[in-house]
Amino acid sequence: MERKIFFHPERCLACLSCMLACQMKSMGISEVRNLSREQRPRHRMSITFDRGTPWVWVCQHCLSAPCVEACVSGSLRREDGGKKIFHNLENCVGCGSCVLVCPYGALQYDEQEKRVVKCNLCLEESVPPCVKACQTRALVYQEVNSFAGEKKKKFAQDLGRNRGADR
Amino acid sequence: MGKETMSIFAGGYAGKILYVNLTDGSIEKRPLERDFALKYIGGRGFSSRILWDELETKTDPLSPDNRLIIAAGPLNGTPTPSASRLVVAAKSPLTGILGDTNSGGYFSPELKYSGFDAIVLRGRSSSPVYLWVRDGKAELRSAKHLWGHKISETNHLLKEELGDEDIHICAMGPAGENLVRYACVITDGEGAGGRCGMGAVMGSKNLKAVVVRGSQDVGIADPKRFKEAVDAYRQTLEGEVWTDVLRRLGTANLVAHRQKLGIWGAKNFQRATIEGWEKISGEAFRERFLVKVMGCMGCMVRCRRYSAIKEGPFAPTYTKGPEYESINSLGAKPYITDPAIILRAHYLCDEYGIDEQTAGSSIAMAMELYERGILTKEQVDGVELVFGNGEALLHFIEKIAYRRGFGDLLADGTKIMGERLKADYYAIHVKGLEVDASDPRSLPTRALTYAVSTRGSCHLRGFPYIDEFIKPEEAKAYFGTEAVSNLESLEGKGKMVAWSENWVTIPNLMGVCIFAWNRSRSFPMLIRRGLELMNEIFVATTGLPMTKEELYHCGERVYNVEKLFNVREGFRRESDYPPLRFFEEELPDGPGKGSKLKREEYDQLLDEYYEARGWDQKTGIPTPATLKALGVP
Amino acid sequence: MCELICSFHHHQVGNPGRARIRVIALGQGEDIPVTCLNCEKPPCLDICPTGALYRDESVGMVLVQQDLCIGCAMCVNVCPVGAVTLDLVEGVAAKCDLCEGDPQCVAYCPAKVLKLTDAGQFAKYRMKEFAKFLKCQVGEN
Repeated sequence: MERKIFFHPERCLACLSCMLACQMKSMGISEVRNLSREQRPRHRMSITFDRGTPWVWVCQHCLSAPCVEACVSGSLRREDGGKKIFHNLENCVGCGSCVLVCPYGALQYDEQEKRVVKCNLCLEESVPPCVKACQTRALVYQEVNSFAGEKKKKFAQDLGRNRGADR
Repeated sequence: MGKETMSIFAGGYAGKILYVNLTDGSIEKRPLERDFALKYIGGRGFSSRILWDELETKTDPLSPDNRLIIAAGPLNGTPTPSASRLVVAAKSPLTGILGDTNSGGYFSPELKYSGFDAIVLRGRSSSPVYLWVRDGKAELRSAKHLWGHKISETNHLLKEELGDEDIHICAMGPAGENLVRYACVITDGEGAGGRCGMGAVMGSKNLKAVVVRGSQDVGIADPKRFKEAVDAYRQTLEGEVWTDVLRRLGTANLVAHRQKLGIWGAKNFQRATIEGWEKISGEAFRERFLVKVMGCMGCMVRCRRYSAIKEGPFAPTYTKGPEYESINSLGAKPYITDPAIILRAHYLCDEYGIDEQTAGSSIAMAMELYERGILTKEQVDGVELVFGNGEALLHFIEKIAYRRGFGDLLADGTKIMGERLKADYYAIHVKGLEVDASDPRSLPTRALTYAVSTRGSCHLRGFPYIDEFIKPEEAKAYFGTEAVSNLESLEGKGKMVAWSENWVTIPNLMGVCIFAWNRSRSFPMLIRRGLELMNEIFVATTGLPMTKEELYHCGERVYNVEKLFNVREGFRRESDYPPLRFFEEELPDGPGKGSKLKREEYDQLLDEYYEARGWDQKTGIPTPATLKALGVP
Repeated sequence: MCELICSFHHHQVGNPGRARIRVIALGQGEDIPVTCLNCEKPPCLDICPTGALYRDESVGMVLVQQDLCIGCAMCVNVCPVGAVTLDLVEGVAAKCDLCEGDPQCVAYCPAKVLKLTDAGQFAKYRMKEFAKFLKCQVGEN
């Protein structure tokens, strides 16, 4: 089972360390000091708020990704037997079709580059920098069903302790 | 992952056997041959045949040449009721003949999900290792950090290291590391593959554990037919009284039965009843210690217990069990009627990885020798080793695990103890495996069953209770004489035992638990559920052609292969006899008072048994004609 | 057994990894089966971008329309109890579908632990049990 980036909203402090880490990685910078004020790379991830609850949106690397279907240049393609959607910056013509179809806003148009940018899961790292940067483990990099399994376990634990009259 | 595994089989089998050479670390996946599956089905069929094929005569069981085989059956991993059983087999360091164990839980289905029907291990690793099998891939990993640990700690460390709570583990404890001849394997810290010393074989190979995890499908060839067969099968179990009794009290329900019939092997087979037996009955354990009724994968019976000692000197102790055999071996035999001691002793055996049956038997034998003055206090490390001394029992279980002091001799089992101390008479075993279950002096057909079993004394290799409920016309139809339905008569019983052995082998091949298979007081049900419906499920699962008659013959075939193995090791008719004590001494008490086995009667039984089996009367060796009819070798 | 019969019903195989109900072992004999709670306001349905997750009126359960599912796993992310997974073989969202009204896990559970009921009925049952419990605590009064 493939690994994806999952999000636990109850742990998120909206500190934006994840987005910072992503930006730095895309610019090839490892020290925050070296960030210049002028450089503002497009986000490969975004954050929204719904009644005070944050949600960090990242590319979901869908099995049947709409962006791959929409891509005219072939710069978006499945890799690793369909487990990841890889965006090749060089081949991208910046038509923006993918931006229109992605339900999660995972692709963004970069005016300077005249191309689209997208999360590629930073495959060369063992753990994506955004996940590593998260101080509260709100972002996790986990096998899909293992993530679900953990949720089940937490739910079971809550049920187990609060049996009430059945005890 | 997913559905890649069903090579040539339409369902049931994973289609692969994992071969591991611990000496050079090489790992090979060999395809399961269709013919092999058709002739030997799985589980004990695979292990017995592979042991026959791959072992040389007189192989030292603790040498690298011994094989350790872990085998599942075609139904493990499917929704077949109670298809949870695992076979672990090797040449036994305790008996010197074929050894195998059968245990429940969740390991066997997981082995199938990980992509294999069986694992065959040979050689000896130069340093401690464990085998990690995951989704069709296997590797040997260092177990240096696990060595020395007891079972719970080993399991905990493995789960931490592999980062997965859901792995399933078959491990040995310190007893296996110290080559205690009856060290056992424990799966998931609960089910013991107890007898015959499989843990010692692991120890001799420097193999601490085998870990499996998988997400592969176990296919079902004809789902519609499968569901119908399973539903019919489940229905036959719904009404069974046994199901309710086992669920309520576990196997410990047999305590009351043993007392009622007066067939305990108490005080090393010197007494047939126990004073204060109510304190260690199934009801007593349920009331005092039961935390939860548990069960194995896919089982509707739920005979397992989860118990706790919450007060007293042994608190807190949390453990699976106790089983009837725990109470028999750690209670009846050493004559201990304190249930907390029995439960604690059982827990220690599970943690150290020792067969509680042989441990209890060995200590009980030592107790008798001590009381008779054959063993002195110095020889037994200054302990007052008398019957009823619970502290002594606990003390020596630990000593056995580490082969310290008198524990070193105890660790070799009753047969060797008898030889070394010139006290064979008090060693109550057949071919080196201690008599369990009950004292058969008042029940000669049970005595036959225990004595001829192919792994040494074992009550599970046959099903001699048929004469308790078979009707005369059924007896005539199946065994040729109404006398088989007569409890007093011995006529036809040899034939009955032979038939029951072939029949009761079948769940061991399929991976199904006998508690959801053989439980009945109706002989036609033994055929209907045991052969007909079982075969129906097998065919629906695997898509292989098989009739219930052919299935029965598979059972017969496997049994004969096991007999051949033992014959090759030099065992003949003389070894198919119960212990001398059963012929010499009468039962001193209870309803069976005055009973003992009679030599001429037993010889007659054995003759009839050999005849029914097609084995030579003088030697017990299967005749060429018999083997040819079964297609063996 | 619930896991086995679930994977069998949906995929004709034995494979707990593909079951829509899982038993969580908490240790010391405590086991809890977890599956879809059939929320009144299901987060999975709300978040699904393609409408693959929909409420079926006859069964009253949220179901998956497989050919619409793009396998994005957002439903997996938002389910509060982890009841939605991606099927190991097909890669699309998988969740309890109440087996078209005749849940197999309920039928096959040997301990009769699982029961198909509605919140109202179950709340009443709980209230009754609690009342009995209270009575035991308070004693004769």
